[in-house]
Amino acid sequence: MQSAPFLRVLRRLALPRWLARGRLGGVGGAGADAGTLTDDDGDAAVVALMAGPDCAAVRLERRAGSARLHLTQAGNGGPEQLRLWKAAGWFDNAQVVLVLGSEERHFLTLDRPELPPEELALAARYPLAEALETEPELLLATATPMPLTNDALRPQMLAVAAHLGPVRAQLAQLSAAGIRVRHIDIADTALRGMVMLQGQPEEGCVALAFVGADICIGLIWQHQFCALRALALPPRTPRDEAEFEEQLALHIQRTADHFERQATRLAVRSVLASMPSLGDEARRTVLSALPLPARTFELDSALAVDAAAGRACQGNNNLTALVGVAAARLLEPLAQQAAARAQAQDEAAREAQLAGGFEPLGLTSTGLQPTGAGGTAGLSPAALSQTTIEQAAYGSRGAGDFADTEQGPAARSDGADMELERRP
Amino acid sequence: MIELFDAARLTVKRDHTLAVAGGTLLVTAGVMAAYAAFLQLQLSSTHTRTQQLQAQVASLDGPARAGARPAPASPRAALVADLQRQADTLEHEAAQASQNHGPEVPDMAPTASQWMAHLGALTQPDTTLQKVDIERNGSARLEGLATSAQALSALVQAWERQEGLSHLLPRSINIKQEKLPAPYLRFQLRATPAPAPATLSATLSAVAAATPAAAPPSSAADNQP
Repeated sequence: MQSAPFLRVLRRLALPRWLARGRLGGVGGAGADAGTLTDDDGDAAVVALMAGPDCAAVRLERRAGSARLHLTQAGNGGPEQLRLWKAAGWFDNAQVVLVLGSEERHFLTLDRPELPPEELALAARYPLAEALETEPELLLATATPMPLTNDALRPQMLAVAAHLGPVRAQLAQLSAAGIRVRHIDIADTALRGMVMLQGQPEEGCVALAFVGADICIGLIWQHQFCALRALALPPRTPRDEAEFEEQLALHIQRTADHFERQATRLAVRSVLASMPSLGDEARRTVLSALPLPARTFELDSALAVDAAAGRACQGNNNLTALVGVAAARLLEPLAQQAAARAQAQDEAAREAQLAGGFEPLGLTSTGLQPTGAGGTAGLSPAALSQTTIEQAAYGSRGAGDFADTEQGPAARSDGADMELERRP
Repeated sequence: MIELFDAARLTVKRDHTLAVAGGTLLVTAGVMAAYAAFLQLQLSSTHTRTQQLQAQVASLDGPARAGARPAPASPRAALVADLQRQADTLEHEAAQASQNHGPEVPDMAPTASQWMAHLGALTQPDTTLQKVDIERNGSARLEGLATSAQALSALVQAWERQEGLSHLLPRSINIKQEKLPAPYLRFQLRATPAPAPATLSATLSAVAAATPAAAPPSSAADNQP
């Protein structure tokens, strides 16, 4: 990286760390290969934590000269643990991110208005407030554009909201412990972090993760969300393990099929699953039932894990999800690069199409997935681009972002056909 | 990247208006208190200076009255004191003029303070001096009132007895009866330093003898040497 000497000078001058690493350099800089860390990338650390009655925190570090991220701290416990973690230096020189669980965040997929990205949040605030039946002023809202995965659909965005009161309470709790937070994310971002750690942004990947008592399933492409759903995990009792695993596999399979069917511009070729609370046997059973090649997200293989942190994360859904969120924050430049590259490829393909004057052959921008007319056969564009506020009815906490082309919204709202019980 | 942090909604907005207003009020009160203390100091210093000046004035009234109970000064004494102060001023100016332009007044002419001393000695109960003009050549012109011709004669005789005024001989005197309820004679006495026979007192004595005390003089006597 050509700017490395300049960055070193900045660091020697003791400029703010964020200036030296976050803005001027980072993972996958201009000269770095996408998906890899270089020796020139500076030190950085992210602490992702959940607050409330049950607190959890992980510290993930990027060290100069190391190609892997380092999981140095992980732990969970009551609110009293926050002060102990603070005293132990977990939050020193780190970007602290408050992660909202599935109980505190809400998301919708909306048609993206023709606005600059910085104005999407304002555009999403009022639809979110209307869907949540609250005042816009009482919401924290943001929106992120989603890659276009189907030519028949209009560009969409993922709108995320959280009620202001609970978030303020959590920030007050952290502030009382001496922890200053200036970043808030949602646990679903763990899916992006997991996929980023695996690389291969050109291929679509169905990622799923257990977060608390919920399962988050998303389609990730170019390190961006293309679809996101969440559903409560069924209780173990009185059902037996076999029935639970069967229903869980069926739900994942249907969702993956749904994603694959709707994404006509990319190839969905794998499933990445993080199910720490499941036993090895149950995990293998669930993954073997999926139609796509599935693999398990393992911390040891994706990160350099300290022994104590690894033991803390073992079998813990929240801590594993927090690792994914922290990884997404640290690897965000990779996502930006992938998005820029995809945009450039889209523009090149569009120019080639205009210059040739022939019908598109169905090749995607990445040239990986042939997309014939079968991808959208029998579907009207209107049906494909239905406003997904209606899809919020899919689950109590989730929303699909693809029109259900087979059963329609009415049938789609009947998520109970998967026999996955929703908690109240 | 999903970022839900909204500083406008989550950071505490501290309203410093009340603190600023309180601070401004405190500063204003402090400044006003300091100004009041300054004024109080000025008042006390002025009061002290006033007392000092009063003490100086009391000391200037005379060592004789320093230990006695201060009595209200009579109009005559006040007039004499005023005349003395003016005489001192004139004497001082004359001294400066003599230094600058040389002496124009004859050496024998009395100074202003001497004039005042002489006039104080000339003061009689029956006569009142209203105007004293001392000319540059040393001559003097006195105007005043006298209750009778005898009193006026006594004034002139006292003038002639004054040792410091021996070189100033009364040359002329104009006497006029004032139209007042009491018998008053307005006189104008003129004396010049040139030596002259002391005929004026005799003339006045003759006038006094010829004129009854109650009768107003019918004409003014003018005796030119």
